Amino acid sequence: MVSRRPLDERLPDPEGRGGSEGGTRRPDSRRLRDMASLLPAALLVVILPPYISVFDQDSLLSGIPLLHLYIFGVWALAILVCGLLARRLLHQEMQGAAGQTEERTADGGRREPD
Amino acid sequence: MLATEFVVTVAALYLGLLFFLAFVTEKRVERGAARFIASPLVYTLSLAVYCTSWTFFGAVGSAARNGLEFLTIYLGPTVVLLGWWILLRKLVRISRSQRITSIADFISARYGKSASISALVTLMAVIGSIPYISLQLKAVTASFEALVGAAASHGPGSDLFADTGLWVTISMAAFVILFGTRNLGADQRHPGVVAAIAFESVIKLLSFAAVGLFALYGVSEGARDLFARAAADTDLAHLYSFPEGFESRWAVTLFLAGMAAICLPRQFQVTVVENSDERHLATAAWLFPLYLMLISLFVVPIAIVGLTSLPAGGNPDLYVLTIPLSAGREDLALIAFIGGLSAATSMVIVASLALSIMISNHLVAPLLLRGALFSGPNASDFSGTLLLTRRLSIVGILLLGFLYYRATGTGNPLASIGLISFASAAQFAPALILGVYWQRATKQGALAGLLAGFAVWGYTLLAPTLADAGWAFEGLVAEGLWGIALLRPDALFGMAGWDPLVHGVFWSISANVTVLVVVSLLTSPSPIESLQSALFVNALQPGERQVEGALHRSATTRDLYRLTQRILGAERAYQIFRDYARRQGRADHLPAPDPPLIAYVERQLASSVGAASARSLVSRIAEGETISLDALIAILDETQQAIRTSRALERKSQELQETAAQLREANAQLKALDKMKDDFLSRVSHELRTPMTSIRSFSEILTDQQKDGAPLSPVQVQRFLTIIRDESERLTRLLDEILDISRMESGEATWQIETVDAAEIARKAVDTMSGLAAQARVELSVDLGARPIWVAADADRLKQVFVNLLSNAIKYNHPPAPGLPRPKAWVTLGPRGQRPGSGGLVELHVCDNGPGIPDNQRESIFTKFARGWQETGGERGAGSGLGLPISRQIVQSLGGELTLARTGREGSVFAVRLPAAEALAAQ
Repeated sequence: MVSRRPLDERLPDPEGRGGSEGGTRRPDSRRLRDMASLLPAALLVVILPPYISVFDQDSLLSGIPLLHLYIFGVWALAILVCGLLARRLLHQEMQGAAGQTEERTADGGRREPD
Repeated sequence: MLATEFVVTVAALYLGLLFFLAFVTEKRVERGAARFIASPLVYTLSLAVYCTSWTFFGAVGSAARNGLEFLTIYLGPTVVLLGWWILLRKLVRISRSQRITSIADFISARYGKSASISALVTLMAVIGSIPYISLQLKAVTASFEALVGAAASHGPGSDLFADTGLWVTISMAAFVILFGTRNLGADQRHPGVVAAIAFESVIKLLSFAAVGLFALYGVSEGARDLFARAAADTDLAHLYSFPEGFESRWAVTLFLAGMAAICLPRQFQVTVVENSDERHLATAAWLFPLYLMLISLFVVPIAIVGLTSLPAGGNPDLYVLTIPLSAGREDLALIAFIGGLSAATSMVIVASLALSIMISNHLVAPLLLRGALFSGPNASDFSGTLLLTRRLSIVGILLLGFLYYRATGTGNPLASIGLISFASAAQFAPALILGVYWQRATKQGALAGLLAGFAVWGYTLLAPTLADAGWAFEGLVAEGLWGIALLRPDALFGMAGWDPLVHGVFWSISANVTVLVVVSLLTSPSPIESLQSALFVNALQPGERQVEGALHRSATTRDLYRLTQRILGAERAYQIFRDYARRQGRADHLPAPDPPLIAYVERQLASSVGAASARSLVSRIAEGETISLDALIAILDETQQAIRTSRALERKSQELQETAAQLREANAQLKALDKMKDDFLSRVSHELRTPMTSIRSFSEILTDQQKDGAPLSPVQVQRFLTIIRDESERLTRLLDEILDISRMESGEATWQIETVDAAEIARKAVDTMSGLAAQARVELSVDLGARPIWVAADADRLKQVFVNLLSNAIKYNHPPAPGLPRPKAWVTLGPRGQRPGSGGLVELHVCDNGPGIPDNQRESIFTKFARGWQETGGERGAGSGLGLPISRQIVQSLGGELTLARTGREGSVFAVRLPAAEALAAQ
């Protein structure tokens, strides 16, 4: 952690954002990983009762039952979020791996704690 | 109706296409030109083997019967895939490093490469999968019959050779044998099979979507019209809202589907074993849920159209076919049939492949290898036998599935068999998931948990289903075990009124988890279990583990080579040993038989026969297996070590910060000292200048009078000479004092410490100062009582202190004036001086009734030349400015302290604390 941080900041930002925030931006690897871990739990919560029962109503939205719209809506949203997260995580993983080999050659194979 | 021959031809062409596709892929992979096969897209599509004919036909049937519940079957895997970062990534990483060949192998490897666990899991998987395979055959024949018309039976009731199921079974067996058991490669991947099932996944999605779109826009006029039709019929309410009390079934089917996505042998095969690149998971994580969502989108439209526009009494499981047929669209019906065929065949292919690997590795291989034929010194080649076993297993599995299908005929609807099969696969979940997160889970715990879960599954789910169909256990289900009503399989411990599935899953999973946890806590793991559990649980920790060194074994290279040759064939054995020798840097093809080589060979064998068999094979030729305690502890401690490292780093940075702070402080002190030195020098030069100037000017006057001829009076001359002498003396005194204080500060001064009477010394000092006091008209007195005050001190130095303090008290007193009290200075005992023996210090006060010291100078009076406050008494400029600093230095050197006790309008009090003589003696 201690040694990887400056490395992360050195690397170009995958989305090209964060430049304006400059050096104050923390490397968001931890945040990304936490989000990836929490995503399934979040989906599980919204597709289980009682949340799902809230949308079990006799109303139609442009001809389609609210329940269908809700289930497929959160489903699609979760897929979208997962896709975005997966792309960035993969990107980061590859950079991390590259950084690790760099580090390993630099300090003679010392491991770094994750 | 379509002609039978036509449909058969199309189906045969389709299957032929699969063979061709697999063949081409295998050829391309051999040439190393199959980059497309190793793409995340193909990987994702191969996961879609999850969607069997149970999805293709059964999901619509399930929706028509039970409403929206079918969605959970696709939402469950979505949740698991979305959580790839937590679980799937770990499973893939472990399987990679451990060369896992199946789910049974995985669980067994986790629990110390236990042969009993892998055999048990294999048995459970076969029992749970056979009905599911037969279900696929049933779906194919049912769809075939629907397509060609019911004039002639082509299903399980018909003549054996007229049965479509037989031909499907035979072609599937041929396919799996051809492409699933070609050789025992370096890994357990089957690119031909993967390519074929990926292709089938595309076909089934497209054909299902075609039927779905037809239902939406061909039969109805879009979604609005469709749901309006559904709303008109209250019997269809379950298609857009939940029935009463849906919650428990919803949650349970969601759980089962999620677990099935990992624990079904075929899903584990495609997701974990066939995974060629861990990064493919990142794509599959969202793309596979998308596939599932797309296929689910069309289920409800098809079900609504089937329920509203087809004649009542039709089989909802076949709506996918009957909707196009009833609308006269036979082409679309044929597409739907091909889609169903692809869904069924892909499942049969992967399931029989996965099961055959498990049967040959975990059931047959351990038995064969125990026998004399394969274990003796002249044992025959095993690799051929293993492949033969695998092929026979495939035939056996498909035969069992076919027989089951022939025996059950048209029984249960598709969905219920599917869910019971899911529930049996879910029994692997506790051992699997706890195994990769909980290091304490033991082999006995896993074994007992699996047995308990599977037994309760059989009792509460399988037996009632069989009884319902009227085949067996009818008495048991009606009356309970041994006639005890409390043990009735569908109302265990009086839990009547529950949905049978919820009831069975609840009891089996809770029994499984409870037994696993309790037995694990009561038993302790063997060393090999500890090793494996540490490797599994910490699989995602970065860095390479030195596992190789953990197991100390010795074997000859010759034995190892012969073993490898026997199991993997001569060619592979040669390759493995040559490569390893090269890595060791040896010229010949025989590597040195160190423990890492033995571990490496064991892993290579495991990739063919499974971890448990490989271990038992190697154990037979390797001697003296001990697990190095140090290595084991090192591996177990890997995590702790990481924590320790980061803590050490943290500590180091903290130390650095502290050091930096200290350095800053020291720097500030140095700067202050530097400034003080400059001040000191400028003050010293100033102090020296004053007497020098006056000496010079008076000597000039004396010399000049000779020249000018204006003679001075002798009195004047005398006065000038006196001034010169006084100033010289002052100069000398000043230099003496500077030398004195610098000697004291550097610790070079010599001290003669002895027991002296402080009162006596104070009186002497007062006597010395009486002249100056009389001059300044200040009254001096001593009030120290009659008794001596014994202190340990240097008498001369102590007198100097009193003299200095009294001189200040005289000099800085106010001048005698009317209206003011008479100026006084006196020495008295301080409050602590009353009991000199107790505190170790004696306190004496030197007091005056002068004007006091201004606030801003109270501290600086003790610094050199700080003679700042207005001198009012005595001769102006007489003080050197070193009196108080010297006095403080003396008292401190004597082991006491000198402070300004109080000051104000009533005067100032300086406190001199000295070590009492008794205290010195005690030391």
